[in-house]
Amino acid sequence: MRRLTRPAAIVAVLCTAFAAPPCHAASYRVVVHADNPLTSISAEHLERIYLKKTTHWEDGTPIDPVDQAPDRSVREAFSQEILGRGVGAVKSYWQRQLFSGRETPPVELGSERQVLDYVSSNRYAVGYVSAGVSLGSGVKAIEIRD
Amino acid sequence: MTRRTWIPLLLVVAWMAPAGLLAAQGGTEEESEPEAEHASQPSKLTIHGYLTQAYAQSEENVVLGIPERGTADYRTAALQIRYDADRRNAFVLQLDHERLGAGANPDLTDDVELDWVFYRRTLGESTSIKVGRVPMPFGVYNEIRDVGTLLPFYRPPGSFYADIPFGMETVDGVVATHTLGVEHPWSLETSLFYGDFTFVDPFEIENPQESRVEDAVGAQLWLETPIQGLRLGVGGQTFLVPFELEGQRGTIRHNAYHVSIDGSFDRFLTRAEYRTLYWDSREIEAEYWYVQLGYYVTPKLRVYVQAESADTLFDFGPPFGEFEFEVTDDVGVAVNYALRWDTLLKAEYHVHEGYDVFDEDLQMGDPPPQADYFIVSLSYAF
Repeated sequence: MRRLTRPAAIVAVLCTAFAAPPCHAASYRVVVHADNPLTSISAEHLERIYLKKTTHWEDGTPIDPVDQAPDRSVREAFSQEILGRGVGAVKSYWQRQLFSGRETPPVELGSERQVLDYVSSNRYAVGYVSAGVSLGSGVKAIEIRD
Repeated sequence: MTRRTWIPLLLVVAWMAPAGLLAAQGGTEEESEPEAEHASQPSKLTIHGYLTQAYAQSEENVVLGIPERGTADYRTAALQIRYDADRRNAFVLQLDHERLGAGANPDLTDDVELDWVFYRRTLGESTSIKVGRVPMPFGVYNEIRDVGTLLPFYRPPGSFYADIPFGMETVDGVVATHTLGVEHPWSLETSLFYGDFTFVDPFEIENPQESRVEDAVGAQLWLETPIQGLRLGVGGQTFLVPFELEGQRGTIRHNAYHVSIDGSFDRFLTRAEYRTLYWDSREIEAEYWYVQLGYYVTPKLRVYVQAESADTLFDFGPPFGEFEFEVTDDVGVAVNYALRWDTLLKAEYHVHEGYDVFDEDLQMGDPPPQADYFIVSLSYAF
């Protein structure tokens, strides 16, 4: 089950108190190509994308999720909050998928800049970067809904 | 092909037809599906693999190839080469290496064997077909039985999975998988297979035999629950095993059914499976079961306990009567330490008895011999 960190829990309470739509306060932002019509995504949908249980956008185009390297803190935060488990557990999930001849894991890139470059040149990509990173052109952040 | 098998095969085709038609209706889209543009194009060719190296020693007798003097000739490894032509088409080849210490017939286990080779086609979001030599969907561990980083112990419970390399692990034929309710809290994954496989017992030193099992049909169902990490399974197989007795040849149909509980949670693990296998004639019936419990002391340190049993009942009628054969009873404890997410150190101890123990002093009518043993191993996967 998904766990909220304390800061995220506080922000969640504040969002509720001010009747704002449900939101995720996180140390990362989910990004897509600037031409992607999506403006928000549910956490549940994002989880299915990153576990490759959903492989196409609603318009039928393929989704290309991109992950960060396993030792990056933003990867751990994303993994805990969206996938509901730590990086080690997700790695075990992908080992099971690979070594039973099923799916391959999302592409893993070593830096925020590489993730942004990947997403900006790929209309079907979705990724995440640390909250304070400048997005630059060709990429936009989308909201995560509960 | 017998009637018993073309009927299930027809069912497979009927089951797959709607998915195939659905894919065909979207065929124009599918065929003209644009290849995603990538800044850094992911490689279509990927290589993965794993290795577990162990040292094992028994306190008496020989069990599972583990002698009293100890052995480091205890190892599993694999190299997987995968080519993803596009999102829907993949070619996978896996080579396998396994060593089973003393007591295993080296003539029956080559240093490197072809483990899998298959073509995988994905249809829509939730259907796939694999054709070739394919991992057999069966229980919690069958498809990953040698991946040390995914196992609490060196091997999956032998009572249930029978540590026989390259037998009951893969099927030469077709495996079709479909998932209902992918986007729902409850989802049902169904896998069906048909084909042949080779059955060989490397521990049969004096009279080793390699049997070609034919007309194997099977199913594996997994019900994913809304509780993350908990799934329930049921499945079965039927297949023909050839035999030769006093110059006469024939086949015996084997049937097997199993149920599984697989719970893998944040801080603990609980798994249990039960299987029954019997001949059509009911002259032989076997039961296998195991229970595993695990507790994650820290994210890196885990402890496990396991109990397993395998029994066979023979009933050849008068004058032989009925008798029970206790193949295996084993209780084990293990400690796992994750040096990294991809590197696992294990130490385990087993209290083991059964007629699968090689005791050169064993006489007819003796109780099952005992062979407690330990294994320390290091596993790595990439």
